[in-house]
Amino acid sequence: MLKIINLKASTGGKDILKGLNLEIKTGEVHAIMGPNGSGKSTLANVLSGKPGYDISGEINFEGKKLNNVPIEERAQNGIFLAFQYPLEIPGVNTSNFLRTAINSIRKAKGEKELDALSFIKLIKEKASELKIDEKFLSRQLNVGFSGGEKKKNEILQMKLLEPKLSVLDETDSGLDIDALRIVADGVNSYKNKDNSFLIITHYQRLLDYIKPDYIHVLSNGKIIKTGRSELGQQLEKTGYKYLN
Amino acid sequence: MKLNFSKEDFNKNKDNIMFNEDFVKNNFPNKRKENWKFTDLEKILNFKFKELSVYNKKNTITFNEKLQFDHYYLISINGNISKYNFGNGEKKFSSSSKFDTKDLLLKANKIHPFNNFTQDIKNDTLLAQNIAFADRGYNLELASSLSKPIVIYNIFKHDLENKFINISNEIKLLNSDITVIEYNIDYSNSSFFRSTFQIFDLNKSNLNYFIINKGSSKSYNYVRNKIKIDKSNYENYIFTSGTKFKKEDSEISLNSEDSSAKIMSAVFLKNDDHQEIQSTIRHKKPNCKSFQKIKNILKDGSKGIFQGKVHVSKEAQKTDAYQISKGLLLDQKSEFSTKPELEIYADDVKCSHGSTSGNIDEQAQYYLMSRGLSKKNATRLIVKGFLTDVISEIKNKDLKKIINSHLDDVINYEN
Amino acid sequence: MKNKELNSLKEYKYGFTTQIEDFKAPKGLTEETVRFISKIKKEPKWLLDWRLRAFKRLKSLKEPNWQKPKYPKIQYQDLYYFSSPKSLKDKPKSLDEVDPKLIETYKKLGIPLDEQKRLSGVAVDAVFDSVSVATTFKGELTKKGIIFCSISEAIQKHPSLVKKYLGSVIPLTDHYFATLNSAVFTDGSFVYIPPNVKCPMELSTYFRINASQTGQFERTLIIADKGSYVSYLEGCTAPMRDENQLHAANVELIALDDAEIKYSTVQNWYPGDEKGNGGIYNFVTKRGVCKGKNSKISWTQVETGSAITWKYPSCILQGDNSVGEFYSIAITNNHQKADTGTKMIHLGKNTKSKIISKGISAGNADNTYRGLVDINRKALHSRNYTQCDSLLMGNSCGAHTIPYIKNKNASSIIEHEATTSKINEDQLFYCNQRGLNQEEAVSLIVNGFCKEVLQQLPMEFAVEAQKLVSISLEGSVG
Repeated sequence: MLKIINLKASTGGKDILKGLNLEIKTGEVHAIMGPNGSGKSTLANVLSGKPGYDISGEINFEGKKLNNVPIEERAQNGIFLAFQYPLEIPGVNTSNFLRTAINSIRKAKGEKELDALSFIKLIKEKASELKIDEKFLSRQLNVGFSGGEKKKNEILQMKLLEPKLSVLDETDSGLDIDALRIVADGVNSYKNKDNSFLIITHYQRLLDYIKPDYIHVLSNGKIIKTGRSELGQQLEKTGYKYLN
Repeated sequence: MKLNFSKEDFNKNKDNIMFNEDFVKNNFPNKRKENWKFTDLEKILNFKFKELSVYNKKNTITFNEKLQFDHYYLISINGNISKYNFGNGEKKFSSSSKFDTKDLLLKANKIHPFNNFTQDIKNDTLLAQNIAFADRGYNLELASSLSKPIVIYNIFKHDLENKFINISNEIKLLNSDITVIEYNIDYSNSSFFRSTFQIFDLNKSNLNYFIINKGSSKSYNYVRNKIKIDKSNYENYIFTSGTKFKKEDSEISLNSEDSSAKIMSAVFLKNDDHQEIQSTIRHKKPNCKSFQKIKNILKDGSKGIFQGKVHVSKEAQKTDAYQISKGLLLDQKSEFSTKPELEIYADDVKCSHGSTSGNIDEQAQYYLMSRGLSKKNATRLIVKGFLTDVISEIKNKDLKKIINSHLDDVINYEN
Repeated sequence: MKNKELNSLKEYKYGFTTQIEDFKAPKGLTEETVRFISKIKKEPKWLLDWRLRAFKRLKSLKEPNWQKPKYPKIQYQDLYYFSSPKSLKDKPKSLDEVDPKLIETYKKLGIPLDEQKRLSGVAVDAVFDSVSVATTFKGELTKKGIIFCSISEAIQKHPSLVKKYLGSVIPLTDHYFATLNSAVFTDGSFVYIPPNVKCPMELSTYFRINASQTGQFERTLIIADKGSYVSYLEGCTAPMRDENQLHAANVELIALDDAEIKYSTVQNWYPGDEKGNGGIYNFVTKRGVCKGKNSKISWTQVETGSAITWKYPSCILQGDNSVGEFYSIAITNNHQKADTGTKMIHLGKNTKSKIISKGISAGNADNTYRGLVDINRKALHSRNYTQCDSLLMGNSCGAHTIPYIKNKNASSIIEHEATTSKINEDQLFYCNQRGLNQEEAVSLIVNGFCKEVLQQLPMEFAVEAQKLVSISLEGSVG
């Protein structure tokens, strides 16, 4: 599904990713761990097409080169980024935003747009799965949301937009144990053999709930180690240092 | 620019003011006047008009594009009231109209409402001209509340090219609670200059006054309001996108305790539109509130200006005055200028103002696009979001709907 | 001197060709006065011509009247525009002859006795060590190539620098008082910092010989060449005794590529008495140009004196990435009036400006912030942040905020915030409850209100400025 070949990324003259290779097949869950400043969030940003990076190498998604594809087309093609710090956008109504987003993606897939009623039905159902109070729909996008609410809202969006590849950028940070469980349940209930995940995290904690097929360690812009899920537990014990 | 008029153009009711023909011919206001600091009217009119001639025709038309909600209305053609409907069907308006109730009075202005402001007249060509030439407008007096909003269909039609239209209006309220919607529609496709002077006199009343434009207008439009507030609440909502030139000046006096004034505006300016709102709110007594929120979105070399002054006199303790103006610039050609001014002589007050201007938040745009929205749609959503908190202040549901769809039309037109 | 010039001078009957014995210009604002000043200072012809151009221009200008403080008409023809330093016998002979209130203030500020004498104009014998202090510093500065002298001296010794920059920031046609200054300025400071030199100490008029006699039309010119840095302090934290009614100084700053100028003022001239009699009119034009890329000009002012203050230290941000800052505290009490603020003109790309203004008004005073932020079309990616806060103490004073804000390009961001309130009663109560009396509490809270600005001052200055803030408000809380 996703193939990254020798990816280099720099911003403001600073090299961050320095030749990263990664392949994620359909149905797989990959986790990326690594110390602060290793380039984890940059990888997530670059995958989503965030402006401001100079890129070389290749990002290939379902056989198509992504490098110059605009942000929204990547989303429409099925790449979803759950942000580490979801932005507050004052004045923009949450339900209006969600409906526009769903319909943009449906349109791109050649599906019929959702009418207001079926949209409300859908969103209520998904919201209740994540234990989100439906009042949030009439609020402004992420404005005044607690850290946990924002992260849950990201997972809700993921479930609504039904991406093929979900990139979760430190979705576990700032969550208490209950919220973490709800978020993990949300991910697990969406996970199936047709979609894939790239989970970026600092801690093993989240990986206790969402079992990855592979764990990669990112350090100084490169993947320096890849292993099965035991690698995570090992890292938790010894820290990243032992790898060097 | 030449101003063309004849003796017949003079308002017949101007007898009691000292009138000087030469004065009327004086220059229009320019940058040297503080209130015109950002807007040189003389230059603007000179650029557009070789000459202006005073318009004195009165016409009637049939009008079938009324708003789809329950309301009373006045129909005004080129500033002249031709029909009205206060519940008993549409009637033709003559200089004064009779109603079942004494609480309602609609008539033409006999004496210009600004006639007594002798001091102002001396220093102000526009006012002098308006007093000299105004031959149209209405005088509405109410002594009880109305159950439905009044829409004033302000229609401009026929060839108005190079015309100078002078209008004077007056609304007097006692113990009444009403909503008025000034709904401007310009079919004329002409460049003309429209000057309107209005007095709103509120006594133990609530007035919600909305200004909306349907479509666009090539006209040059100046409005001056004097608003006197006694134990009353005044709310003004301005949604006038699409006029070539528009300046709305309001002088608001909070003359007794526990009164309030509110000005809210959300406009999307484009195609060289020029729009200025100027307000002076005078807090004269204690415990009054004023609140102003001005939102401008600007593109295609348009200009948005807000000059807002809050004046708190020594006596006006416990004043609560807030003012915010925000400009969102969508391209390099547009400009947003503000002068938020506080002049305060009482110490126990809460007064603040803020003003920001800048471009669209790229982070927000990125977030929305990462959810699959096109750049255009993301921009629209953000633009609408920028205006939202003005719309959310509207209490009347029908009106909120009308204004929402009006703004959507303006925003989605293209960007 | 060419014959032609000689002849032109001879046309005037007040003996310009003879030796001048008493150093007093003829009374009144005339061409003769202008020529007299130039002559006595042995100025080159270009400067005389420049002064005369200003004088000619002045005749066509009207005194401005848009500012908030109104003042009685100044009788320009009754003023002396140049007079020699006061001889020792005119000065008070000891501190006993000085206004006791002034002495009291000095004591509160903790100013040493010798200093008190100097400040209040008591004739001090030559042993007073300010001269030697000044000389010591001068030696150190000269080693680094820094020029720091009176402008009169600079005109003689560094004419090309003066000629190049004088009037380049404030054109002699600028406005009435700036033009007046250009015609009749008598002295002032001159600073030149050579490329890549960081001036090792705060420069101050305090250390300059003859500093106290710069007169009412002071002219200051500071040039920071590429990559240099200078911090300049104007005035002194002690209240200067000064009889001049009108002060119309001009200050010009020029920062070339990567240079930084920090200009701090503490102004505490005589504010008039409690009834509003007397006091200085402080009508000053201060303007800096960030001419080079990455340059920075920062104005900090603490204005507590003068009957009327009317000044707008401004920055023209011409170089790309240049930065302008304005930090201001204006305190008015009794019948004082202040109309002050800044102009930030953004011309270069990525230019930034910051305005922090704190106005405090007490008694019957009137305090106005007036400012302009203008981001031009070509000043892409520029930013301004402005915050103006006013504090009112008592119900007979006024606080006003008049900002003009223009944003002419979409890539730039302007933010402006202003508040007006009275002193927080809960805070006062809290302080009282902890045993502070009313005046101490007010002083504490007001200093907190001003903190952002006070922080900008050089250390030793800040401490005195804090005390000054408290003293200025004495008696304002009942």
